[in-house]
Amino acid sequence: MIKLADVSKTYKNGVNALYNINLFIDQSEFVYIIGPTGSGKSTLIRLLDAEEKPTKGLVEVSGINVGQLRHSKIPFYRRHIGVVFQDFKLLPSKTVFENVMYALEITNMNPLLARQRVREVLQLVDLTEKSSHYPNQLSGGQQQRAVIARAIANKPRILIADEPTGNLDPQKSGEIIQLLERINREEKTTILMVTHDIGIVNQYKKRTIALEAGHIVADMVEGGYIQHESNHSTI
Amino acid sequence: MNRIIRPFKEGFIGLVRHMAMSISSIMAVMVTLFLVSLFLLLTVNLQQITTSVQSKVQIHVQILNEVSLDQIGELKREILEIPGVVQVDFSDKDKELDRFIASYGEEGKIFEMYRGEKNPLRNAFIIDVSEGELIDQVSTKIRLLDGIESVNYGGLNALKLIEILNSIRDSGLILVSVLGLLAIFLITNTIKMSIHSRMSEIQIMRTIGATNGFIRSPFLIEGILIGILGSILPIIITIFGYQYIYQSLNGVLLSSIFILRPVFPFVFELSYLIALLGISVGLLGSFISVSRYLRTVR
Repeated sequence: MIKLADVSKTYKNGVNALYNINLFIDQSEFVYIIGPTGSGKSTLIRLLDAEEKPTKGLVEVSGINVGQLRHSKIPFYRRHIGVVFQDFKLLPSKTVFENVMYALEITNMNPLLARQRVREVLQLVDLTEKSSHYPNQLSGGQQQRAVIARAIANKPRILIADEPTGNLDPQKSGEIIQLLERINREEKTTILMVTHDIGIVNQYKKRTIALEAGHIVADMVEGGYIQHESNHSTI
Repeated sequence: MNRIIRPFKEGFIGLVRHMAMSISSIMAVMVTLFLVSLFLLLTVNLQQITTSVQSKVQIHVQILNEVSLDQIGELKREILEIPGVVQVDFSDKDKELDRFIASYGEEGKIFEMYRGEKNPLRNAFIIDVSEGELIDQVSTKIRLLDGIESVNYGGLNALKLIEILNSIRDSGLILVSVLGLLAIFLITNTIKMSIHSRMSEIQIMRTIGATNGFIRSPFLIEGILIGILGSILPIIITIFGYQYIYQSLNGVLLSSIFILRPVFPFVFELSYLIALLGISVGLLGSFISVSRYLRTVR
């Protein structure tokens, strides 16, 4: 499903973000990606989202060589992956409903079916009452859920969530995880969740990949995480 | 169906939801189109005056008394063959005296005593030339023909006037073109700024998976709408303003030889041009700015 073979990324300004990453994630897996700031998590997402090209190696998603995608083909690729951005990226001049609708309009979906699907996902993320609100009228958690609704509206094969619980309290965070679990279970969507939140990783145990300074330092299928002080000991 | 309606709907919504930006763009379009309209009015009228002056300048050719009527007919044919000559009218001594008397108005009556045998004037041709600029050339050629006593065309003054009017018109045209370019630059810039403020919006759309065409089309409609809305007021001012000026000047500038361009259908042609300019500039401005941002994001 997702395959990274020998992937390195060096930015134009000389910053090395990833070194020789090898990774395989299967269909309908739920994976955490953890690591400190600057460990290369965001770069990994950008590579998967076709925002950046790998300097070296192969990034393959659903059999598509993402690094080689032409500028004009990228939009079509992106419709198969939903991304929940850390900074939300909601369109400020559109309501919640329109924001979610936009993700379906771009695929030229039948408007009637599209509206129905929007209502469906808004109900799933519990935002039905806020559907005519603009993003700046929502709380952080509500915006977060709106982004999730938009990301899943198109029934993507893969959902990438960048710190989806970053600015939520523990209770709300739990709700988001449960929501993602439901999407993973019911829609068979592969989920990649980048997080800082050790609590969540320990509470909802799943395969956990730890990045540090551009290297994969641990890939724990059984999940869980032990805070490491000076060494890289993890289980 | 949805594909065709959506950009229009979204374009309208974009215009309304970014009201402040839209208004500033519309204002920029309005001011520049108004200036363009003003200079076009001036230039076209100068052109009109130049041609009307040119058409009034005639060559007056006096024929030697020895030349017989048959020979006069021959001369007329020869003159007609000169390139640029449109019309040759024969005016005999008697008619010449009429013209002479008329040119002195009331006091001219005393010259009536010269009518008949005592008439000192010559038979003459009055020649119309297709373009004022040809007058000098045609006169020189006529002067070389046999039986011609003198050739006159209102003298150097007429030529000078035509020259001046032509140069004013030419500089007016240059001014309009420069102004037009300036307008396009100014409007494109304003629209660019308004779209720049929505750069993140464009990036988000692309991130979600919208194709370039899908992102661009509502912006193009928005640009067209800005062009249309911005040209309404200049068009209204042009139509009614020119009509007012024309009527209060009685259709002439200073003297009756300087005839202004009639109001209709001139103002409609001008309005059409202004609207077209507004729309194309709005469209172009949007297209250039959106395309530029689309190219920067992957």
